[in-house]
Amino acid sequence: MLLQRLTEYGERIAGKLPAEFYREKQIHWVLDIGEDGQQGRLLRRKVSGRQRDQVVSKPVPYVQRSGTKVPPYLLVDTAEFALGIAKADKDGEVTDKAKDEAERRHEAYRELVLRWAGTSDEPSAAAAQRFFSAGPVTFSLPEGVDAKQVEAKDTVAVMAGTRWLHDLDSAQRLWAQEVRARKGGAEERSGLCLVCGEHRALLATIPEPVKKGAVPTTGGSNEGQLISINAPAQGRGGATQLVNTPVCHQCGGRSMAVLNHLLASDRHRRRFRDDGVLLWWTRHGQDDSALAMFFDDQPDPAEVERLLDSVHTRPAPTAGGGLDTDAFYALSLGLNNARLVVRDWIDIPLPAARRNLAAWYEDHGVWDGWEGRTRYVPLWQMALSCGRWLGERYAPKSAPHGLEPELLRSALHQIRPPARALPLLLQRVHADRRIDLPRLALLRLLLNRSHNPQDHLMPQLDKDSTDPAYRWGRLFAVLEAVQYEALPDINTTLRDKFFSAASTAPASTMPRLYRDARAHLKRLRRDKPAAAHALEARLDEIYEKVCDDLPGHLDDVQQGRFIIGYSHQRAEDRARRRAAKEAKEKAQREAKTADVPAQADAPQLSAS
Amino acid sequence: MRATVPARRRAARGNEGWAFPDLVVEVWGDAACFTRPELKTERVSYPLMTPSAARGVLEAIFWKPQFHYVVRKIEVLRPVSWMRVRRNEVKSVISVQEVKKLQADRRHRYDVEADRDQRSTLALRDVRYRIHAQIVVSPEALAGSAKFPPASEEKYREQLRRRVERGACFSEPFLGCREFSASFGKPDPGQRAVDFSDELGVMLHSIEYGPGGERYRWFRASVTDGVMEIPLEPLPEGAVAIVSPGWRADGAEG
Repeated sequence: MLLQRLTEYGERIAGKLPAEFYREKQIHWVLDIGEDGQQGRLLRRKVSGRQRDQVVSKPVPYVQRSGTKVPPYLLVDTAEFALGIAKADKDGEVTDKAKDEAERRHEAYRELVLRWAGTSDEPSAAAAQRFFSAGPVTFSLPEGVDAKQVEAKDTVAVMAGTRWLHDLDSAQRLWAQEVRARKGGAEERSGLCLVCGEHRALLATIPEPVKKGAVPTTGGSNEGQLISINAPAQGRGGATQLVNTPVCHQCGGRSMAVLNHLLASDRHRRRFRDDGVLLWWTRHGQDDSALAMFFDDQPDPAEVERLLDSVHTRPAPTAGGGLDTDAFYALSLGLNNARLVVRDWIDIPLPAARRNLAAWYEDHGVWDGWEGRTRYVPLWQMALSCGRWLGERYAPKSAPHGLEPELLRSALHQIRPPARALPLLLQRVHADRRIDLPRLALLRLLLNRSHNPQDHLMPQLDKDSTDPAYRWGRLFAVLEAVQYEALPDINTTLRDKFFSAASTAPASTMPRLYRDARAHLKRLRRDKPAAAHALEARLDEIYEKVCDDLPGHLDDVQQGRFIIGYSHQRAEDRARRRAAKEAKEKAQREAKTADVPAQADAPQLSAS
Repeated sequence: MRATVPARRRAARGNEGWAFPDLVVEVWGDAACFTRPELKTERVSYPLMTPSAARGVLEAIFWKPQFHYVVRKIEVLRPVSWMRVRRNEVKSVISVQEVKKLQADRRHRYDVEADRDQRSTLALRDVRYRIHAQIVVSPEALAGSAKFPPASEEKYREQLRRRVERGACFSEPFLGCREFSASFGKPDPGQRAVDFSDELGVMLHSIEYGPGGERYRWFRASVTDGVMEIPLEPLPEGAVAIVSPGWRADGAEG
């Protein structure tokens, strides 16, 4: 499954992948041996932190290596291997032991280069043969560069004139052979590969790990193997390594190359702040714009509408009966020491994935009365909205640990979001006294995906809803509007003072607020009689249906419904204000064109 | 009976040559992990039960040395859903050398804390399968001997059926890992196979326990509309290079 899908994808993007057992690496120094291989010049390619765009980075031979006698890479390796520069210890001293080791490594490096040069008939190979057979490498430094600046750990590549030697076909071939010989184990094994199902030569260990830092982690190691069997309890019958996991050279190498390719690509990867990463791709790469939009985290309203339309108007994905063969794959990875952990694996038809995403947008979209459209929230913002509000923005990194991956999982599988999100969100709403778009969206999602069908919400104001918590929320919004109309310049509003109390224990708060509103209404009747009339009517309409049913305490879900009722009522008020404003502007326009003294309509309520 | 009817006539009588209809047992549980061989350190399960796990369940319910089960078909009755567990385990398994050390040196101790290994499991949750199987009685048992009268397939079939109805088992059946114990019962006609089709790649067919140790046999698995058919014959021997473990905890040193 997983490895098959990775190798399949590898076949599709074969042109974009580096050569077998090659990996992108930064090159610090270039050893130019000249077209004839007569002299060596070292060229500096190291750049300082600011000049990141000038970094020379190329796919170069790479394979995981360890042990006491570390073997060399072909042609591109550290200065210790390529130039024989010994490692300095912490104090900057070079010990005799380090010198001996550098000598040994350089010798092994030269031997490997000469082995390659002997098999190749290209002119550059002949130049390399001449250069490296003359004993340990000697080279001249560019002007102004001190020999101490060449550190043992720097990567050195070799050029003959204008050609990179490691790019030559013969070098790539020899390197692949060399890796096979190194990773095949002591005895040759062949058999049926679990991934491709072909009879081939098998690996003893997986040749390359994922790149360092590609999977965010808080743990110790930052590179890892997908298939790793190192301890007796991990393999069957106490056998370690790939003894009982037959994977051929090609599948092992390719699946890891694809994994690294996906981990490096911006489009197909999503890194989580805490730890872990999600990779996604499709089988045939058909229209995946909806997926790209989702993972890019920039929900474009027009594109979301298109997605929703396409899901609603087209027949259900199952109706096709397997006609659509494109599939969506998502692989969620974490790191446990030096092992990759598969946290989630999704393999579903593409239409099903699109349907899941459509449901995601539909479940969280918040109706904006003022703009007259539904607004959608990026997933990271939804997770961050459970964090602290600083007055202008959310405190960075204050989102609860692991919430973002959990929400992503909920979106991709179309399952319920984590239960802990609701109390976390309510706690922040009470503490910050702030309800905004991302918080509302998350709340809508949590309620819409509840197992209780009674919790499922209408997208806009539901006047017929008899749910007490919802109605209390609406009533609170109207009381706030009454206060605002009566005392527009007030510093501390009803929401600042009473929102938390009203949404948790309405029985003890709301009757008092309702009573107090009479004073505001009295003032309004004097100053703005039309507004007073309209607001009083609305207040009574909502209040008469809830006054018999006073819950002493609202639980989490009810508090959620209270907040939704509050925001629905406010959105409705805004929509009404907007309609009033438009009607007024229209009347003015008409009055102007007709050039008749304006007979204004009865003034609409700005607060209603 | 398979062994007594010539192959030509067996095939002609339908039901792929089997004399009796399949025995059907339904098995379910809260969690299951049928670990894939390629991802077994940080375990990832196959999306459904393997035939060897099904055979293990049946043998936990009823087993005699005179016969063995052939699992023919597994139906998936619940949608595939996943869960993740992370647990503290240990790195090593008990070996003969370790036992000898413990016997020889009374002060030698095994320290679990020093041998910790945290491992994750991507397991299946809320599973329910319907296992279709046949019983094959060995020729020796069919022929009988001085000590035992000749056995018949019907006898063992009825015994299994009665045990399943009674809920009796010799050991607690489990779904892939010992910690995920399974419930079992008669097939419930109300349960339907789910709409699930997939190619699963190479899957464990069965394990043969011979005098030379364990031998693993494999087949190419695919599920069509929630049903996985299992071929009678696995892929040819040696096709999958799995080395038999050199030693077993209860056996001689390798």
